[in-house]
Amino acid sequence: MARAPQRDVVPRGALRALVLASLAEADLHGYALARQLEERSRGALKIREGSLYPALHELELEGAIEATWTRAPDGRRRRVYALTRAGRRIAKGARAEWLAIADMLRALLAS
Amino acid sequence: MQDELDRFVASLAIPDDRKGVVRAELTDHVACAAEAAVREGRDPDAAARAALGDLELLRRALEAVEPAFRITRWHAVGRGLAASVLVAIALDQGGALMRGVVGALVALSVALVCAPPRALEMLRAEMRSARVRGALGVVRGIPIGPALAYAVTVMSGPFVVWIALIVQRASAGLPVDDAPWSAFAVAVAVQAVLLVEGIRARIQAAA
Repeated sequence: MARAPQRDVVPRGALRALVLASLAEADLHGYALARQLEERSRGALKIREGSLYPALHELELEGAIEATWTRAPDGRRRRVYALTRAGRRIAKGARAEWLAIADMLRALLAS
Repeated sequence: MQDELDRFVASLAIPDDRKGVVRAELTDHVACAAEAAVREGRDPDAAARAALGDLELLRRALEAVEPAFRITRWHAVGRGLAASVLVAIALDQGGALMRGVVGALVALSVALVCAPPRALEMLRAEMRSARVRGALGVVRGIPIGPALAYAVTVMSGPFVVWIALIVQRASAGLPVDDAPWSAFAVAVAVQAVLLVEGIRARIQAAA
């Protein structure tokens, strides 16, 4: 099966929805989050750091996620993100919204 | 690599406490990329450099978001209330001079001087936020951040103060004047900025 071409630009709202969906499953730090999304897309998606961290910080400002300081095995400081209660509600809404958009595009483009 | 990262973070136009957060977060990101490269038999230095991506893109995005961490909503409301009191008193007590262009300019200047630092960048970041359902679950809208809190307070606050002054004057039996057009300058300017930035944010989201 042909591998999907890699995309290095994720629509802004879609990245937020993907971040929230990943954090709904587990608390993650930035690098782990980016790699998880890339692996799940089987390499079709490349998460740019230029959009990931600002998106995380915006979600933090909105109160959708919160960050805690931890330590990596070698002792360096690490910020781990987790969904807040409001974030769970936002994540659910974003997921439904983007699935509806995907269904609509599929229906429109397949016809 | 770390030196380059430190220089980049030092050059960012963001609050100093946020520089510490960004530096630690990017340092961890780069180190993770280098460790993964070692595990997979790739060049760790090249992986670390690639992990940072386009620094100018990162700079623009961080400088748009980070200043908002310095200002809380309550801080912004406090600034808005201070501006409201100043505008209302200036227009109310300024006599005929404050009823026209001068009054409008004074009101706008006060609103600008009292605005939180980088309010426009904050407003743009807030306007780009995803819409969420409100606490009552009836209406959907963008969450109100510090910039919007300031805009709403400075737009409506002068009228509240002014109405209180009018009521106080009327109850003392003193004559009450009509509102001069300069009283609406801040409200109109804020509405215009919200409209323009709202449309910009929707266009950017659609793109």
